[in-house]
Amino acid sequence: MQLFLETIADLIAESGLAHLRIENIAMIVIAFVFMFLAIKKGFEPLLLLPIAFGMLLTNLPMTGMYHAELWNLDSGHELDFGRVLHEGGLLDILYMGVKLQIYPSLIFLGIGCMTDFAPLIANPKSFILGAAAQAGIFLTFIGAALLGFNANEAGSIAIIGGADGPTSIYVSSKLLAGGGYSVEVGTIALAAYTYMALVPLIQPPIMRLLTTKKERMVRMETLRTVSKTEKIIFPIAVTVIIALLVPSAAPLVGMLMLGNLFRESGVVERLTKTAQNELMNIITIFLGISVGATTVAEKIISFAFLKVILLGAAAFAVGTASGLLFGKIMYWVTGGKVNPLIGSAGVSAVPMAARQSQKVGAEADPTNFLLMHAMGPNVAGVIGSAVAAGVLLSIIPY
Amino acid sequence: MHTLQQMESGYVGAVTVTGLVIVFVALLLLIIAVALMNKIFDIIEEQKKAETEAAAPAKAPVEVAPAPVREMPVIEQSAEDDTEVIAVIAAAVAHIAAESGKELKVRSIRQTSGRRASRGSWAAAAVSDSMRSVS
Repeated sequence: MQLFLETIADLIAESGLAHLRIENIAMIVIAFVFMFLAIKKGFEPLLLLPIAFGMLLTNLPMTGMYHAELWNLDSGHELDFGRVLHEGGLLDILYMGVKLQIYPSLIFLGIGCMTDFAPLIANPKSFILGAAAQAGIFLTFIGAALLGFNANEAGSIAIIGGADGPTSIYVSSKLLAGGGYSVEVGTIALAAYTYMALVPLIQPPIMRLLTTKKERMVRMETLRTVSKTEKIIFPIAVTVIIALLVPSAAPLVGMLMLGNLFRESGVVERLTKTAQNELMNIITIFLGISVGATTVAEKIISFAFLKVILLGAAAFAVGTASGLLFGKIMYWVTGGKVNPLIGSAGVSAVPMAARQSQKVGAEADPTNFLLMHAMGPNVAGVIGSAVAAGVLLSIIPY
Repeated sequence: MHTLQQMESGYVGAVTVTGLVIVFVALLLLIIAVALMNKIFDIIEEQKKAETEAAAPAKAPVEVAPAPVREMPVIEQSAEDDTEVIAVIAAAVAHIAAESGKELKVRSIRQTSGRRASRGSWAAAAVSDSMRSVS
């Protein structure tokens, strides 16, 4: 009888309920909110749902699935993978793929298999718009600095402006590797994916504000057809050029271009199909839940996260605006041949930003087909944000 | 570095400017590379075109896909893409003719100028198709 009571007492003491604190409850509720957004409102469900669930799992006490102390090291301590393997729970083990830069790169491989760079090859000036929109990243860096974040934190927050999930995770997992920061990979990823889902809300007002109706009605020349050979040379050339210039961008750009080469070569269809389907899905699952697991209460319920939310909105807005402004410059320079609306598609949320260009252009002239023209800057933006990521990683020490 | 709480404005400025410059330079180089590739291919295309135009007769009846067609007019400008488009149109007409039992004749196929072309339902369908979410 005695033993039975003792056992029960122990079980109660070890139960999650006994260790449930107010922060945990708050985080669990927040996780529910994101699940609602993902499922009911369709906010980037592929990533947001696993992230939200990872958040739930990590904030249910005593589950032992994720141990923040393994990853957040005090200065002087090295990341000990042996310890992770010994003491880590499921989410710790899965998180290693994030730490080792495997997941974001493989996702980019899949994205490359799905991307058609023809609109960009046909009109390479779109690269300028892809570059211009990345101003959102660097101006957010300034903003983060002004709000009191240090270099590594500011760099991680800034990359949210790249409007690219894997890139944000890639950069923040490296910059924040040392631990002891007020933001986490999870908070960055959460902000990034939420804002990517909000692109249809953020972009159109800015697009209407910064362009005149006349500019929006511009019809662009039909894009020339791009030959297969060009489509094969493109990924190879981009990889070589970017890797030589910004080597730290090579994992992302290289995998993106490899995926594209798989697709365009036409000789490795099995690989292409796997990379963009099974592989992407597997990695997305692992990435989502392990990144979600890093969203422990202290990092979310904090003033820092609030600032991240504000900065994230600013990042997207500034990126959109600067893409549009460069679009206007191109409009003037070419004597009205370029529709400034495609500039905002330089924000590399593919294909949502391009869709917004199409949508706002169609409001002005319903027969205007801007989508393909906007895809050029859109995919250029993916390359641009990867380059910007590389730059941040080369400049900021971690 | 993460022991520093506040960054000096000099550092922040340096990161921003360097970052923007490098991104622009990298992408400008890509523009040059792609434009060069385009130029090279254009030159190759021109040479090819010169060869085929010398070989083929000036005016030729257009080749049509399998289905029997009542009558096909001669098309003056036969750029390769137009040929395929004409073939598709003719095949579609032939198909409709076969199905409905009526006799249909293609009298002319003209390319309207891009400016005031009314895109109509096909374009709308294409647009909505492209806008479907991939992920």
